[in-house]
Amino acid sequence: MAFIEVDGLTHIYLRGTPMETTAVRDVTLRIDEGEFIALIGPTGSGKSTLVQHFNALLKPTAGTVRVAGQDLVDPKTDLRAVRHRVGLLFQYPEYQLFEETVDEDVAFGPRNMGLPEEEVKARVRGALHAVGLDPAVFGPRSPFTLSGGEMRRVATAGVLAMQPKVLVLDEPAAGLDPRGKAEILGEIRSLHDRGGITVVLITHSMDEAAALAARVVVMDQGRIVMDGPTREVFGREDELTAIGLGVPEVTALARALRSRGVPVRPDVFTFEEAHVAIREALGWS
Amino acid sequence: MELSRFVTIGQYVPRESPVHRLDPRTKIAGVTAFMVVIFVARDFVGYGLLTLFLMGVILLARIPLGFVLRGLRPIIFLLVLTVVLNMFFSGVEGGTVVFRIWRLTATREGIMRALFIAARLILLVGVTSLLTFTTSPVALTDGIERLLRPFRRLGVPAHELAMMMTIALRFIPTLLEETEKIMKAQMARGAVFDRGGVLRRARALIPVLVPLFVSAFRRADELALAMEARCYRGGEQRTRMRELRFAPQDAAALAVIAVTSVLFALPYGVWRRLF
Amino acid sequence: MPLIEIRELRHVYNPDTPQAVVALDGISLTIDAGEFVAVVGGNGSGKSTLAKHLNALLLPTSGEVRVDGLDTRDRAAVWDIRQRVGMVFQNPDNQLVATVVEEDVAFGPENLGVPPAEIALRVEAALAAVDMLPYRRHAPHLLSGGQKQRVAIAGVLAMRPRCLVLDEVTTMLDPEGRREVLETVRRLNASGVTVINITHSMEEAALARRVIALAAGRVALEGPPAQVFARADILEGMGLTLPVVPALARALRADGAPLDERILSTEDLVEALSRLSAAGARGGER
Repeated sequence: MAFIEVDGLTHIYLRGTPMETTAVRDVTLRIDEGEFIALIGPTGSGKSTLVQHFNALLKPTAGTVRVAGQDLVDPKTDLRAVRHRVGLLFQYPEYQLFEETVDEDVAFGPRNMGLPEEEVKARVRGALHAVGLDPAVFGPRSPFTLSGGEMRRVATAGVLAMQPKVLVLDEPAAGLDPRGKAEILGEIRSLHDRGGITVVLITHSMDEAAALAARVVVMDQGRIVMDGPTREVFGREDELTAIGLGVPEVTALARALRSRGVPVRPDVFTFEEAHVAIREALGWS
Repeated sequence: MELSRFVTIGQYVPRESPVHRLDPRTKIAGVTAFMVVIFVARDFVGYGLLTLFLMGVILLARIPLGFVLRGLRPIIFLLVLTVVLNMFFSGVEGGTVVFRIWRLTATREGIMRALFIAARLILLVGVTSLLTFTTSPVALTDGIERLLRPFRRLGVPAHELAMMMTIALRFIPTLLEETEKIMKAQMARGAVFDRGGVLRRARALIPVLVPLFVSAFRRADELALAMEARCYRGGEQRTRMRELRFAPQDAAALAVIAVTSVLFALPYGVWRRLF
Repeated sequence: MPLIEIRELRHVYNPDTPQAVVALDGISLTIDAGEFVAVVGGNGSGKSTLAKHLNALLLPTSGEVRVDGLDTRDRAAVWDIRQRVGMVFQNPDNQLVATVVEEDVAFGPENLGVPPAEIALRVEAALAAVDMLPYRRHAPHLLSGGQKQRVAIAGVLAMRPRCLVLDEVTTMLDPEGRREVLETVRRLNASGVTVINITHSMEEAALARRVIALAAGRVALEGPPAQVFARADILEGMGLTLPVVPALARALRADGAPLDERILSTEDLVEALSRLSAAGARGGER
């Protein structure tokens, strides 16, 4: 049994009004524990709507969503428990901070879980460490005095403190400068590799997806149009271009070289692979 | 995403109609006159005439009657409450009793009064809805600014008020969207907004209101900077792309409004004597 | 006369207090009419502070900024300066003031006291220049990020500025929005508008004809993109990363490949590598 099972999921916004839109159409998907999935697709393809079903923020118009075997539409299912296991970090999460101190804000989640205060404090410390913030330095500060990047880390810690089994991240690197981007993506990778958290990463960057994810799910107009290992999905450049998406820059480069007669290997998806492949193609090693 | 798409700013329904084409000042004057007559008229004849007049304007404006009726939905509760209260507690002593429920007495006078007040409410909501249906928010704020301009000498900041209204209208959908997003983010962290008594629910809104306020202030800062960068320095020497101009149809409309206001305000007794 | 002249510009936030921060530490620059300049830097490099000096939103703590000969500290000249140097900001939402697109574009000219008939003409021309004319009666909140930024650019163009300063205008946009905006900017520069693009994206910097890299409030590097990209070590230290193609070219050069330092685009690299490969094949090396 997969951790998250989605079957025939359809979601229609503003049903019965002139502004009715079908955001997600007949989506079937399985997510196993420990995976690292990149969810990509043009703006408006339904990615955000889809993931909001994983923690019951949205209810299906049709179809089912099961988390750890529990049907989320079933009135007997404890939705709050689901939200503890599936953590969701929206875009620009720094705009959710509200407490007087960083400690208090990060504690919001664990406290809502009803955990004893000692446990809450321990989790806050752990979560702040996990995002690279020293609890002693940052804990007592007001979140509104921090830089944008620091605020984002606090917001991330706020979700990590709930120790979810699955972490859904909607463009975690949006709006950050290159260094900030590299740092946050590195942290996400180590959370997955060390902590065994299942990660679903919504991103517009093919390079990000290729560098981090083992599996890529592609959405277009509410449907899943591709779902498979990263290398396989990015090998289908023409289909991706038709939807309005690209491939990692190095993949496009490799393809262009091949079309000019330079014998570069087809499976090039990261910078290192491109470097090695070009050297090989030129006859060095 | 859902909420903000729902909000069509000010419920403006763009149509080509003589009413839509009127200067907003004319329409504001008309609505004001109408409201005065509502309170001056004393009997059902007056209200009957007002209702007929209103329906005529609605027809002329090409607004489906259904729209206006739907605009009454928010006040249904108030209407029912008003009718019930006035029916049983109108304080008229010794009236002709029509029926009794339990210990409450409904007199003929009480019922009339209740219906009268209900009619008043319906007419008020109807005419103001009509104003917003036929006048775009831009036109409305322009009209209000022009009407207030002569009072600038008395210290009324007409331009600033209009600017504030415009910016508020512009940001309502944006702020609604943001509220929704913040609520979802806090719900994802286990916040619950629909449980508990009034006090508990109010406290549960803090994680939504604080970020919203902080964000609103930040927006205001950034917007002010952007406005300054575009040379905004108050209303003194500003021109407008669209200037309100009175047209012959406005003069005609104002004449109609004046005449009908006087006529409708006359009590039935005077009508009887006239004809 | 250069369009913008900056001499020994220093800017200190909260001067004479314990929280004093030196954001700009002695910057001297000139920008000529028609240029396409990118100002890059990491967070805290001072690039946003520098941007705000160009239209007198900030005044120097010391040093001087002149726009078209006008000193930014001259209070009487402020509005003139802001008409000549138009600025578009990072957040697409927090710049649009009106409930209808064309009303917002009219905001600038209205502030300048332009006669009504001319405002209407300028609004139409500005919206056409950014390819948003079909949206003239739309409500701003229904537009995408890229569309909002283009409307913001139109709002500035309607004031007929000599120079367009873009303060991280693509940072909050998705790839499609970024493409739309950069294409619009490129077209405007081609038609004679001076463009100063403040960004932390080196990909965007590659599109300019001149790159100024700031670090800790000072100019660290300056020159055509290829020249600046050649100093990758300094850029990394500033928290900036080379775009993929120049980075790859650099790595291959370190391996001994005779690749030109000016290679910036995919096409350039493909061309150079395919020639190398053919030469290698001809030379019998395999």
